[in-house]
Amino acid sequence: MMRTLFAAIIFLAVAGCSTPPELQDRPYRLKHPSWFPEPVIPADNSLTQLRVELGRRLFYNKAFSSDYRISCGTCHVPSAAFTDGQPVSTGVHGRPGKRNAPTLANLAWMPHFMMEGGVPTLELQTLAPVSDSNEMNLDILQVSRRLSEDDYLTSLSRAAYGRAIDPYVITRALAAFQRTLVSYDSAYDRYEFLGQKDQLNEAQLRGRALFFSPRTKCGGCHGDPFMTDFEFHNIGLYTTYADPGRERVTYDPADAGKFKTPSLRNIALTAPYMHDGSMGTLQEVVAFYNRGGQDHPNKDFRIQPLGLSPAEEADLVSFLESLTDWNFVQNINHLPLED
Amino acid sequence: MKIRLLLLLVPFILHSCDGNKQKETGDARVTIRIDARVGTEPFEPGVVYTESNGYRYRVETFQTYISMLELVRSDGSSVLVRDFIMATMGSPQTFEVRVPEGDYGSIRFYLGVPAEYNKNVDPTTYPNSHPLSVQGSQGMFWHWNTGYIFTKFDGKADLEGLEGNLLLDPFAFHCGDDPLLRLVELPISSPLIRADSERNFQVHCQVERLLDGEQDQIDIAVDYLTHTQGNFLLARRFMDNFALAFELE
Repeated sequence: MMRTLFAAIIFLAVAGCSTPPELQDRPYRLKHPSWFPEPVIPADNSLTQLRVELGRRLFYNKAFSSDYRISCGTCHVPSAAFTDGQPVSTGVHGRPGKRNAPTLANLAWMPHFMMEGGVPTLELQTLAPVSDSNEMNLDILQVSRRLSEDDYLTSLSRAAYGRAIDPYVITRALAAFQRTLVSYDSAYDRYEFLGQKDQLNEAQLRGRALFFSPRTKCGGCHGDPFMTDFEFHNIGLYTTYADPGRERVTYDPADAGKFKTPSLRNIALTAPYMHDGSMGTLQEVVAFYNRGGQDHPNKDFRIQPLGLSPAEEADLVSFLESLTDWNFVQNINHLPLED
Repeated sequence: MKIRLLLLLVPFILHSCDGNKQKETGDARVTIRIDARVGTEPFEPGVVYTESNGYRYRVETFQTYISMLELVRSDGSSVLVRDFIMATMGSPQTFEVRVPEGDYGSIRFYLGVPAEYNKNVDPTTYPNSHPLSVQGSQGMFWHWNTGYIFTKFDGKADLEGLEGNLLLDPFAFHCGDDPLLRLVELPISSPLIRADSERNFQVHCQVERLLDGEQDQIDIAVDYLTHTQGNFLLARRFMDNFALAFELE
């Protein structure tokens, strides 16, 4: 009797610990160019093949929304550089969101998340849209219960993180996948960092010179290599802001109307623009900066009338179009996995 | 075979017994009960009360984090009773601790979560049973501005003098962020706690003082809504009132 019991225990232990051959994990090498610094990956979420795969499956899973109609990928579409083409995203039951969906390129290097910068890690950022009643509108514990009903996801979770699906695994896996969304292969990159001087045409070269000139100062906030300084600025979009921006987390009126500088990588694919999607085209955006924005006590001192001619405005737009990374937006490793 | 199995288990059994060992010879048993009252009556969510302006109000949710509940000795050292408590006010909680004989001059705790546990923390890293975990926090966490909601005080009032129990005017005080952490220290009138004795302390939160504070009156006809962002000053006023609403019996 005792021997039978021991044999049963050993069998269960072996069966419980074994991982199917297809779920053997191994490190994931995050490819990035020499002109990017090394990303800081959290010690408890080093990248592995299975963590990235789990995150990729979760990214496109609609069990994250209360009405089962929205996944992360609904508002972050790969072909639009992980934006959705709407002024503000649409949440569950058609509820309008409050802000324009940001691109997800190069999040592995981003020091803080949300447009007001209130979230310190990519892992924690996951929780914000899930709980927002205008976005996914679901408790992360409920998401966890829903996902746990999927045997394959459960197996992946155990193989990747050594535990069942729970908020810890969900936040880490989604962050792991998003850290693999690296964009560095635009015509501008090849021109600027690889010395391929035929990559930019004449208009783009003139636009580049303007972009980084003391006259426009665009590169002051949208500099290399991420085309953002990750800081918070008021650009004089409004005289009175409906959205308080950075003030929302600092309670400081001097931060009213300040939003995190968005990356301009793939900017030609991420219309409409501004935190509220209020500008439909790059031409409108450049014309806005050329006018010098509206009066606001917190407006950045660099936002001034530029006196650009129509031809110069067009050159700037041409340069911005050179920031598109077609290999990034067509990367099949970013797309939903077929079961 | 059975004997060998038992021998193998003995260290584990002994270890688990050791983990439950708490009582030290000579220690005193101290209990601290935390409750909420209106006047001298127990506070109950859903019951209609009247504040000093004559407005009837009903509290539907009253939750708060209480952190670092300590007995403070007269020499300034302290004994930790509980590190974090997710308190649903209206449901009294009692905490027990054994302490050596000595003079204990006060009971001290924070309302809220101290900064080192509040910002740059990840609730998913705590086990579910922990008050700071996703489950244990019971929704008292801001996802868009990482950190815990220290206190929620929600309900409805009647500002129009309607008939019956019809209360239509909502109020909501959701307070939380590092500057809103409040320290409460309640002096103990008889500090000496003798060995092998038992002392019971009752900490009352006087709910009426949240609006009708000792130093500030919050008029819910005017100041009825804060999620900290959007009306930080009101959140600060509320937490200031809250910190002065406790007394020790």
